[in-house]
Amino acid sequence: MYGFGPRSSFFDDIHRLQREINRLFAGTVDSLRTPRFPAVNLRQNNEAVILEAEVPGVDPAQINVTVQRDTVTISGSRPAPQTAEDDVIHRQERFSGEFTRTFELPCRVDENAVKATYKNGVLTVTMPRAPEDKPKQIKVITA
Amino acid sequence: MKDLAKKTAPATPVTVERTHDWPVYLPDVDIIERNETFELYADVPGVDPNSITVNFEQGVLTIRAGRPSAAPNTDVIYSEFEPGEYERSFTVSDQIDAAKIAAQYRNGVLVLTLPKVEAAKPRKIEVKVS
Repeated sequence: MYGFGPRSSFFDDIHRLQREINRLFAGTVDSLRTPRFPAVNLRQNNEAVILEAEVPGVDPAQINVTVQRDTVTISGSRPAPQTAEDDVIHRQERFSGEFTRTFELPCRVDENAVKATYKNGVLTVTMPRAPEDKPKQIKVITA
Repeated sequence: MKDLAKKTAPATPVTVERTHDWPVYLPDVDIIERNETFELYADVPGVDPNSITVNFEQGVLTIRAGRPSAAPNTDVIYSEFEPGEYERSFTVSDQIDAAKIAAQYRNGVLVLTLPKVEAAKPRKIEVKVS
């Protein structure tokens, strides 16, 4: 008898269904999506705001990073693979051309202490928070 | 930009079930056929080069790589990519000399060079005038 069986099994089913749908669309949705290059993550802690951007195949020397007031901008260009006259392009899914992305920062940063590194196609921009803007922990004094 | 209409057979979708729950991404690829080789460019940023595997088995070429999790002790404000795995398979015709497939990883791009077998290379036949 099913009735009011274990509640978890119902949610398990929903969960499984959702995963199945995600899997079904994993390929198509991705390929239909308007190219947003590069993909970016923004993180923060008490010390800094960190931007990570996936810029595979871009010469690090060709990437510009600018921090101005409360925005950070990354820009550059990515070349398409070189082709000769009789080469045949069977697939061309990778983004090529100029790119620019700008993000609003959640807090003030020290523009002069910004560092950018590039490794395995990922650009990491570390922007230390401005000293006057860092969160301060207030000690509670017991009377 | 020429000959975009001439596509190869669609890539074999990822059908393998996994025990873990992290996402599996299909990396974007460019495939170019040159005179003597096919070249495949795949975007797999942020992976440890040692974690990349390229496998060729029974006519199916599979590339796999792990995308590690991000720096700890930080709060995510905005996110467009997550840790997970890259995986994609391609059916390869018997025009390819499987023993000579070469792979190179540089700046987050995996480049595979798949040489054609001798018989599949384009040939120009000289017309002899007698």
